[in-house]
Amino acid sequence: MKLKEILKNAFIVICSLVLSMFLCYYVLDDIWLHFSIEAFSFIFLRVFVAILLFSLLHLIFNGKLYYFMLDILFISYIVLVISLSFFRISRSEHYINFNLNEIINYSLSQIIENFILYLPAGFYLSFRIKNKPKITIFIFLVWIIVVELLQFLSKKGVFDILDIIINLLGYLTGILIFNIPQIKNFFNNKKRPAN
Amino acid sequence: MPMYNKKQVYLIILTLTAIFCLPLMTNIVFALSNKLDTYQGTGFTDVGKESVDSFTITKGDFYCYHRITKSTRWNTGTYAEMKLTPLKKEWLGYKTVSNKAQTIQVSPNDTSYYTLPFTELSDGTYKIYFQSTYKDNVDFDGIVYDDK
Repeated sequence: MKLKEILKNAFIVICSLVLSMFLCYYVLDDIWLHFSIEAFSFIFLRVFVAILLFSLLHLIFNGKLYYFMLDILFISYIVLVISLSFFRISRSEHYINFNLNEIINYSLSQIIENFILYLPAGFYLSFRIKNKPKITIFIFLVWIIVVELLQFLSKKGVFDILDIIINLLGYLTGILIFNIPQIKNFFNNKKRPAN
Repeated sequence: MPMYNKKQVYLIILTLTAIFCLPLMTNIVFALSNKLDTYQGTGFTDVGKESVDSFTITKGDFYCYHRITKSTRWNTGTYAEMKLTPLKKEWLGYKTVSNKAQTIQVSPNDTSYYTLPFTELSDGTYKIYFQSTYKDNVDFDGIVYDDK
C-alpha cells in the first residue's frame, strides 16, 4: 500500500471518529436515550456511527466499498442491538409472557422499535448468505429466543413471545425487501469488490 | 436573483432574530424565576422514560417539585412509587447518576406536590429518568428548580 493511500485512510479514520463524537453528542445521544440509558450502549453507538461514517467517507474518497467493511459494520450493528437488549435500565419485574393479548399493553413506539430492530439483519443476511433463507430464519429464531431467555435470566427484562414475533416479522420484512426484484438486481449486479 | 425592498429585508431579519432568540428568552425567564424545566408524563411504567428537555445547573443542585396525579395501584388502595434518576450529558453519552436517584411514595389519591432534592451533583447539563417502581401506570407532573 502506498504511503499516500495509508495517509488518506488515516485521515478518513480520524475524521470518522471526530465526526462520530460530535454527531452523537449534539444530535444522536438525545435520540438514543429513548432506547437505552446505559453508558456501554452510548460507547457502542459511537463505534457504530464511526464505522458507518468511515464506510461512507471511504466510498466517497475511493469510490469503492469492500465486503469486509460491510461485515464489520454489520458486526457493530449486532453489538449495538445486544447492548440495547442487555445494557438497559433494569425492570422491577421479570416474568415469562406467552399471552398474545398482552399486545394491548404495548405502545405503538414499542412495536415499531421491536419491528425495526432486526429489519437490517434480515436484509443484510439475505444479501450475504444467498439462497438459504430457511437456514437464516432458523438461526435468527434460535438467536432471538436465546436473547430473550438471557434477558429474563439476567433480570434485564422479560421473556416475551410478542417480542419474538415482532422481531421475527421485522427480520422477515428485511428479507422481503431484499427480494424485491429491483433491489435484488441492484445488489446482485454490482461488481463484487475484492475481499 | 429576487429583489426585496427594505421593509421586507427588515421583516426577514426581525423574524429570524425572533426565532433564534426564543430559546434564549425562555432560558432568561427560567433563570430569573430559578425554574429550570417543567415536565409531565402519562402512563409511565417500570420501563420508564427520560424527560424531553435538558437543563443546565451551575450550583451543583436541583430540586424537583413533583406530584403523582394518577396511579393504577391507587385503585387497589396501595401507594404509588416512582424513582427519578438524574442523567448527566457527557462526551461519551448520558451518564446515569444512580447514587443520587430519589424515590417517592404517595398514598392513594394524594395529588399534592413534594420536593425531591438532588444535591452535590457536578455542574452540567442534565435530564431526568422517570420510572414507576412497580408494573403499574402512573401520571405525574412537576417543575425543576435550581433552588429550594
